[in-house]
Amino acid sequence: MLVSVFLALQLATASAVPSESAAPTTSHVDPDNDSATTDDKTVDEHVDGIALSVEPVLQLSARGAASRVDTSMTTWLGVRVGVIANDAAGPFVGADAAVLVGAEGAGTNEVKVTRAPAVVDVRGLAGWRWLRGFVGLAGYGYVGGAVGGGTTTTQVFDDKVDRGFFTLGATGGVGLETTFGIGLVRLETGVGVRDAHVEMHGTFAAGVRF
Amino acid sequence: MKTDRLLVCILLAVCAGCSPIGAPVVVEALVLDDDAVAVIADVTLDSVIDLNTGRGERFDVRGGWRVSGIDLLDTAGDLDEVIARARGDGGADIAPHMHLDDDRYVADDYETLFYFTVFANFEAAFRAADAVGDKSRATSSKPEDRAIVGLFASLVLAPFLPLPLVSADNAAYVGPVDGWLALRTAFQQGVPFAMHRGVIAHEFGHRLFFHNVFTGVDGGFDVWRANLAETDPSDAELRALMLLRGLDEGLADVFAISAERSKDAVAAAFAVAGGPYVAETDRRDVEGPFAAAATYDNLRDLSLDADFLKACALKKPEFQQSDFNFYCVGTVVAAALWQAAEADAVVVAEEIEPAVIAALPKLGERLVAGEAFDLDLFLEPFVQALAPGRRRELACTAIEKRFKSLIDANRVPSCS
Repeated sequence: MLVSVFLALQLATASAVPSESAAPTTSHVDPDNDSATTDDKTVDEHVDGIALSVEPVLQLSARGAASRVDTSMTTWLGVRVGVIANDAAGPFVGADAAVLVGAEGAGTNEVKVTRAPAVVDVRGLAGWRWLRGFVGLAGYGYVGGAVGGGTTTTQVFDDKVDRGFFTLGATGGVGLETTFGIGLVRLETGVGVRDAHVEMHGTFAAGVRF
Repeated sequence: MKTDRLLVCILLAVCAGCSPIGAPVVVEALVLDDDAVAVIADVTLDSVIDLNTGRGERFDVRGGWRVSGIDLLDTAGDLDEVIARARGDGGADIAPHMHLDDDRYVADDYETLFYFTVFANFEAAFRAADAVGDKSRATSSKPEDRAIVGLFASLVLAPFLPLPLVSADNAAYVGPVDGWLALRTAFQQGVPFAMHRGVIAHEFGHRLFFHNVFTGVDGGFDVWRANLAETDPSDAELRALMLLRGLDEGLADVFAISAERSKDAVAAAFAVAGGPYVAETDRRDVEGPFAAAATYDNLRDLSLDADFLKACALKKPEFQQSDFNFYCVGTVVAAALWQAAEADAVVVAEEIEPAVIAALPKLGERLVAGEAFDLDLFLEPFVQALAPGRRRELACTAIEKRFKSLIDANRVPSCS
């Protein structure tokens, strides 16, 4: 089943309201305040509008296996490129796209089935960011879709069969992002559907945002 | 990939579970070719009711099944009550990952290949048991007698303490659940035991033994129950129990040879499994050095070569030891029957195994009559079940070689 609701997290709570020491947004800047110069500098670094990010991605996905005992794990590696409409404090929206290459397999050395999928994963994001100087923390939700293909290899001793496959999926999830200057670290978890099977995933990404 | 085939694949993926996929169904599975080499091949499943869920006519393949050790020990009630209780929830429907490719189903992952192979292997074992004339509940087609095969199942201590006792690198028949555990692969190499046709045939042999000896004979189930409940057996009772287990294992190997028409049906599975399994190859080979040297009598009085005794972990005479490798007794039984068949697997299938099936209920009757078990309780009705003539003479010669003290004591009168 396709996830059709775009998640927009509103994670701010009373206790999460930025303190006075947090980086102010434009509306918080007092032009008469002696610290305006510093604040404006901070604002200038974060309100330029669109920011571009590039990040290598490590993702683990798991789906229920035939036995209903174990899970089929896929390890994905790839690169994600994203744009954020506002990288200042407050709400933001963005989109990104990743190319991910995966690997999964099980069995003995002589009898095994391995799969090597590759997908293009496109997502939309929305969330909220807190800033304190150069350090930022953002919580966000995302939905997206992935399309790709790959090869399944069934091997029984010297007997080996390779088959191509097509894969299609949709995911949604939540993430936490920490920025440190231009440095960026993300942790995400989500659930989706790939090839008619429910799948959960966790992602670690570290990169830069300009 | 053609567009129409792609469309079929997508529709199949989306609609998986919508409608049953029933027999005949062609799947791609692991099979052993004529040279006992494992290969990928198309297999037609002719008893599957729904490939999507694992349901079959005479057995169901189930997922997520945990058998409780505590419940296995509760043997109150009749057979059906014991089975229903011990099975617990009986697991869940299988969830295969597969696609249709040229009118056959192909596994998309290892567990589904495992499932297809296990299903095909059990179908083959049922056919082989039909062919040797079994009429017991083991081969029944009644829905209420349907067996369960637990895919990646495990034997756990108790429902409230699911500590796994047996969970990997094996396959097992469990009488109280009247089903098999097809365990996951962990440390072994080669063909996973539960995917090996010879090993599955061996495990099927245990179901034949259970139903022919214990449930097909009036009072037999009480004998089985008493054996299971015996926690502090006397030396004589321990001897009888260990020999009975050895006979069960040996006859399971003989059924595997019969079903696969190969003397290496079981032994070959160990050869490539690596680690501690390799040594079992020699102990299970009906033409190997152990089978050539071991007899009932030199195991009984510990006069067999010390290395062989060590391999069997046999330290006390008269089999009065609960922790010896009773498979060693099984190999002596299997080697005798192999010799009786003149080392011909076809003869095993066509003459020896039918006589075994005919003899098992007689064994059950003698156990119900209160006779203490020794191997003559099987050997005598087995010889009687063979047609008089050359085969019976060959069987007696083989029995005399390996069970001389029983022959000398006239415990197998048909060989006098």
